[in-house]
Amino acid sequence: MKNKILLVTVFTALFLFSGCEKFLEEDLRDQIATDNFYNNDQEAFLATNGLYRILHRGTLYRTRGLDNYLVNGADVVGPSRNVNGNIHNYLIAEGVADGNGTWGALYELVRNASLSIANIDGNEALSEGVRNQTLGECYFMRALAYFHLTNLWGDVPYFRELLPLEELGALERSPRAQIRTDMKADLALAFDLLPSQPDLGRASKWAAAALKAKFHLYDGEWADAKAECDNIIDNSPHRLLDDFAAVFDQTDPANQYNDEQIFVVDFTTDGVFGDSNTSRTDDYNPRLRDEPSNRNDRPDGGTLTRWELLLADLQVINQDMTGFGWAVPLPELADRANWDPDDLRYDVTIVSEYLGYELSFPYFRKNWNLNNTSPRSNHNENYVIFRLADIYLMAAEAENELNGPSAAYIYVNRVRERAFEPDKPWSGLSQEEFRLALYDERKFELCAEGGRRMDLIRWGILLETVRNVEHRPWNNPGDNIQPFHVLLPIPQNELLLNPNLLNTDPTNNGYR
Amino acid sequence: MRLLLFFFLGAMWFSAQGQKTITGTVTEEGGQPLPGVSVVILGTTTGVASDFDGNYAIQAAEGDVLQFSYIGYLQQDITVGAASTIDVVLAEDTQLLEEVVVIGYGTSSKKRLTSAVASVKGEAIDSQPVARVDQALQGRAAGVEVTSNSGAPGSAATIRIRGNSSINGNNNPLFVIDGFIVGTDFNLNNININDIESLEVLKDASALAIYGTRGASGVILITTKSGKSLPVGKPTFSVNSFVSMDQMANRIEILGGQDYVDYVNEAGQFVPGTPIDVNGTPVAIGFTDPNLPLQFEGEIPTTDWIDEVSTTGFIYNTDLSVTGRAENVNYYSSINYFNQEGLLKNSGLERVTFRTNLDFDVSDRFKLGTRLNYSTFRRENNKVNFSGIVSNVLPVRTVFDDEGNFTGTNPISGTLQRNPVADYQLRVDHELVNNLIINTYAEYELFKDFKLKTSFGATFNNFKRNEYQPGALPERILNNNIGGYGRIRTTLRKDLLSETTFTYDKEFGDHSLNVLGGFSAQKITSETTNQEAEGFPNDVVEFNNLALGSDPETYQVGSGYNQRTLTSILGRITYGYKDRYILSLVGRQDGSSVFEEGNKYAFFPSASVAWNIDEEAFLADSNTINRLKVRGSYGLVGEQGVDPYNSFDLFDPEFNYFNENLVPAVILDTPGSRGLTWETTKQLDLGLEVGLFNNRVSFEAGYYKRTTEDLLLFRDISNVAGNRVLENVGSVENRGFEFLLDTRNIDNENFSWNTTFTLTSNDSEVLDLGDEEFINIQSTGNQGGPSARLIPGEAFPIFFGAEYLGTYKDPQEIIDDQAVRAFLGSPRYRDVNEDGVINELDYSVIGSPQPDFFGGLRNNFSWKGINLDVFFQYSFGAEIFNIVTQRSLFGRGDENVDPRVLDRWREGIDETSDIPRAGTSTSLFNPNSTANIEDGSFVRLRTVTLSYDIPLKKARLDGIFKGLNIYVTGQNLWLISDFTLGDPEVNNFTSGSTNNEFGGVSQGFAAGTYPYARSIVTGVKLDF
Repeated sequence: MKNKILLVTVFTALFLFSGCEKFLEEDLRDQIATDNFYNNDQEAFLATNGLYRILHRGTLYRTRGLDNYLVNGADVVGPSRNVNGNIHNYLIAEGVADGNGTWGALYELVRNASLSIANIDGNEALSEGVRNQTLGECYFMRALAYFHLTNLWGDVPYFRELLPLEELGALERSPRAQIRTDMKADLALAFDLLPSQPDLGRASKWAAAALKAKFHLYDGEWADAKAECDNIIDNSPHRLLDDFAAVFDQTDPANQYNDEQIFVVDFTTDGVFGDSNTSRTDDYNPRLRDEPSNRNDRPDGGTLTRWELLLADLQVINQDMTGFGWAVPLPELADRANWDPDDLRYDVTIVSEYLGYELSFPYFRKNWNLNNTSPRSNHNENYVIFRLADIYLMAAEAENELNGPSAAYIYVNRVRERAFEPDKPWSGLSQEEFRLALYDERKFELCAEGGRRMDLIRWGILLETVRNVEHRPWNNPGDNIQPFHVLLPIPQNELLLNPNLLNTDPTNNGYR
Repeated sequence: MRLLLFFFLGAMWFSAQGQKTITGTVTEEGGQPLPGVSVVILGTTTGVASDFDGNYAIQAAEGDVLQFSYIGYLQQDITVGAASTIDVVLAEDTQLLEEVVVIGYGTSSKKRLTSAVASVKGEAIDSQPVARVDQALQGRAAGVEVTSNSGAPGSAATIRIRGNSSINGNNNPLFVIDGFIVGTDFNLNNININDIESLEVLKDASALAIYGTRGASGVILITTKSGKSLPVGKPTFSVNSFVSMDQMANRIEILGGQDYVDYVNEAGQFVPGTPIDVNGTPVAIGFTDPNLPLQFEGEIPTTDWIDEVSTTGFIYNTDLSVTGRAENVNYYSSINYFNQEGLLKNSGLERVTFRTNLDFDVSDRFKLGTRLNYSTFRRENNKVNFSGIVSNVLPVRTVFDDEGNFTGTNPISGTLQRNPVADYQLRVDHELVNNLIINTYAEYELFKDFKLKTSFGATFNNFKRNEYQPGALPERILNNNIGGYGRIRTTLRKDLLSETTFTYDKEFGDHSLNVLGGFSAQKITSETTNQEAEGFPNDVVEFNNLALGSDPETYQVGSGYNQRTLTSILGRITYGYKDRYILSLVGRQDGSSVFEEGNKYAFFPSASVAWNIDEEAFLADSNTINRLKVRGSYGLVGEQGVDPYNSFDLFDPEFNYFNENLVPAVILDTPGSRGLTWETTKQLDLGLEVGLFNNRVSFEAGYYKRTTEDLLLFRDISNVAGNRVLENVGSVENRGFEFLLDTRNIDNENFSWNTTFTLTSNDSEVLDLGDEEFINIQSTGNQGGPSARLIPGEAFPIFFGAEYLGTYKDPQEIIDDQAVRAFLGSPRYRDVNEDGVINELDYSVIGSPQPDFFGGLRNNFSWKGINLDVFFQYSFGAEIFNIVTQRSLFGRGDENVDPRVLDRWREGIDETSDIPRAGTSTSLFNPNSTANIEDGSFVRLRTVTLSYDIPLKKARLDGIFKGLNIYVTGQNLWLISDFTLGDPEVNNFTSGSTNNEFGGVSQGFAAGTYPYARSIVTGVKLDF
């Protein structure tokens, strides 16, 4: 008996410990590790779909992420009350509105795109068509990320492949020019790889060309910018819509795309994941609390206040005012007198009276949507990053800078054709007059579309513009803005984690 | 119920037969008769018990051996001869009188114990109106800090044994139930408190090292009742039944009525701007513009939302048990029914647990036994967002609108907001749990003093959570969600444990030797599923048929699998000389699956010594000092610190839409962490145990120092590289004292008074965080930066914020501070770096959630069967971070305010107050600051129990009952505390809360939790 039990014990022990190594192996069953991926076309698409998903981050396009630094603090948009003051009023400092979240999301895009590029490039397991398309999309997305990074911060850490974490986390800032040269080359590759007419929502070769044109334009490389614009104008399937209002009409979620749009971030109402919708529209929508003017008056001695009457009228057409009202036109832009009386774009762009009620604030009609199908933060409006009218104006600008106005009129007048009744084409301007007129033309055509502040910066007129434009009483950016505000400080959080970021510029873009 | 009782007891009924009647009297050495002595004919199931006068009568034949046994006395065997009278004198068993303490993989006499173990007896806690034993442990054991997280029925408390030792890992103690390791996240709702014989808390390295990598946060051994120590005889049936009435205690005050309306109107007419010229500098001092419209005019109805959602709670609890011992078997079996309705409407817990414990003596050498616990409960989850009610469901909002529909928005901000009344009326949310713990052992004495024991155990836990949000919920209507939303989540968890140990227990001369060795293997798997569907056209089927959700695009499914394996070799040698000098060496080698190849194994040794000075000749005859012992231990214990699969670079599954078409996507979010290993805690423990005056005063004191190294930390990395990675860096230290004083102040035949006092003082310090200067563990403010941080040299953790200086009272102050967005009456903070902006660069340490000392005081008075037990719990020196202060005290317009704002700064009325003016939200009011910090000290009269043992003889019930006791308990009757937001026991972030990896160490945050009850319990215990 004793022996038997001893035997059993010994065997149990041996069994357990012989099985030990196997017994202690990690059994990963429910997740995908990156080293077991990119084995087929579907997987390549999954990875690139993830890049588009990152664009939904609140710190990029879903809310006032990039918009904080692309539209605020310029001469077109301001908040309707004392909010977002750190940004709009140029109280930006290390640790204060320094864009930390936006920085992080852009690098997330860079990392994911780089991981996919390394795994898709030359991957024989993928069909050639899919390999080219997904690789092109990755190049485009990474270039888009570096476009914003270098615009907002200048020199930034730069990598093209996923280095070990310690190395990535210790990178110094690389020269802006070097990064942008590489990105232009990548975009040329992307242009060759991408299809001309892809599924709606994905990047085409024209998106790559448009981004490349922007890079060149911002860098003053007029000939290259012009060439890219011409390529798009001449060869792409995109066309200017005849009706300016139709360009912005996204009220029908099933029919949001139009021929003028070259690249958009696609948002959806009632989506199955949290960030599928956009709340950017809410910034442009009024809140009923503010509206209409004299809201507590009871007209004609009635029992209902003006705001109750407005609400009732809105409800009849299934609308509401549930926005934040954070992004309203600045007074000068909202003033009809500052627009050409024949400019049809004013009524499409600005609204100051609605359903017969005078509003307390003007709003951007082009960016609002009062339809009650989607109260706060559940909007479907796509964020249009590139549209063809912008390309025309870019071509005009590049041509004017390159050769003077004579060959540039044709581009600007194509845009003005639909904007005026009767037509008011430009002619007979000097190069300088053309240049200055174009400053305004871009404002009237493209205001509140995410380009204005960068335009002012690249033209070198941000400071004077901000100082001279009229702001609402609770804002005073003109008192605060300094020359160094054309760039953001490297975020405080990043400096704490990686002191090497101060190696090349101890002043941190002039903020210290 | 009675039928059931007979069913599971039927097998345990025994009867007797005999040839002649033997009678006699059993006495103790002094001649006093001993009632209740078990008299059994050896080898049979025949047995009787002596009566009140020590007399017994039993049928036996000549040659039979009568075994006399009684707990605390040495057993005697007497062979029946010709005589028909056998009187017996039983000698006291001095060995047995010595308290036995359960330790890991065995037991030890208190005398030979070399480690720090706190013991709590089941009877001290079993009449409390709670579902879980952790909630009953508060203040009971020195060195153990138990903090309630919520008053919701069945919610877990946070237990910390000698402080926090891990940052990302686990700080919850390991629970071991009757030798079966159920883990650190075991749902204690599955255990019936009344089944618990004793709880032992293992605290020092010597006691913990036997649990190796799982011991760093302490171990709580739960031993359930058995018939082991009973005399052989008839079974005892017991009933314990109580009813508890629960009222909300320490209600949170919210400003309502006209006072609130006035506040909002004042804020609405406030204009922050208007520059004035002081010394040529434009300064905005703010002013009131009476032309601005009032937010509210006329009669404004106000709602007391806390009243709307709360009710009187109750608990109904009944335990039925039977226990006894026959010749070769002892048993304990019980059923418990527990039903609680919570203080917030439509929340509660209904539970049934079954337990059967059996031990068989197959032969003198071979024993078998089993422990079986099955529980099934339904927890009605709280549907109401109580902290939402506290912070932003406004008094000016009505429950229903004019048309009688539930309101769904904040009337000031217009933001969509849940309706608390609709929540509890319409939402469906409950958890169903079935849990089976079964553990079987066989023990064989291979040769003398050498025993081999092998056990196999399993836990099966089946969890299902059902949720349904009908289409009628206002937030669904306003969000244009068509129809209802349903969700089902399940978890199947399986935990298998196989352990084989041998023990060698030998006394030779003055020497004693106890050797333990063994190995163990454990495998824990859990499988989860998640299903969601939306668009239910009607609300009849609810979650029961998710396929009726009409919108296929909103179907969401998910599943997961998680596995963890462990293998261990363990050993312990305890050597004693004359019971004076005792040495114990313990070691355990653990292997764990969660680490990479090459890092899977670790060894945890410890050594401890004890010196029983009272055994020395010079103290042997002392009448003053009965017990004097010093002990010390040093050793290592570990903590795995991480979940499985950390080393992999993993894709997160995501989705995206292209032109309204849903497509799947993946994103590399968090990179894998490489080269990780265990966290190791080095622990020194010194102890002193004193017993004076015939042990009427007994005193235990302990000092410990625990240093935890190789902490697994999520280190923030530059966003260029990712978000964060895990690393083995950093160390923390906990030092502390523990005191236990137990006195029998009065002890005579009629009256006794016992006092037990515990006091613990724990000092923690972060020693090292690798390259990090700090780690932010919470950011609770709106844009306020970190509110809790770990900083080397500081306590673990500390609160972080600016220094609140009160309000601006003079324009010159605004100029001096170069303050942005400031005005008179707006909050003023110390601008440390004088840059005009208050941000985290101006922050410093502003408090710590660690109490200076805490514990409990229990007084027990006993007079002729009447027993009064009064238990106070106390905690001093902890600070609380009140998360809602920025809004409740400084105002945000669309959130609730604290009644303290009645004393606010008011233009022309009170320009000296340091409570900011109405309208402050337009200023820089968000920084975390000393204004958030409140004193969390408290003294609580936690329980008072008055019980009465009905004298059975007098009441002529002794033929029916063996014991009859009625009792009344008051729970949480009285609280002294200065805290403003309800109860000072707060823990807004718990380790289980969503996306909150620092929940385990972020204590002391308050945002208004499910309220705690003040309870009156009436109950009865009867034995028959």
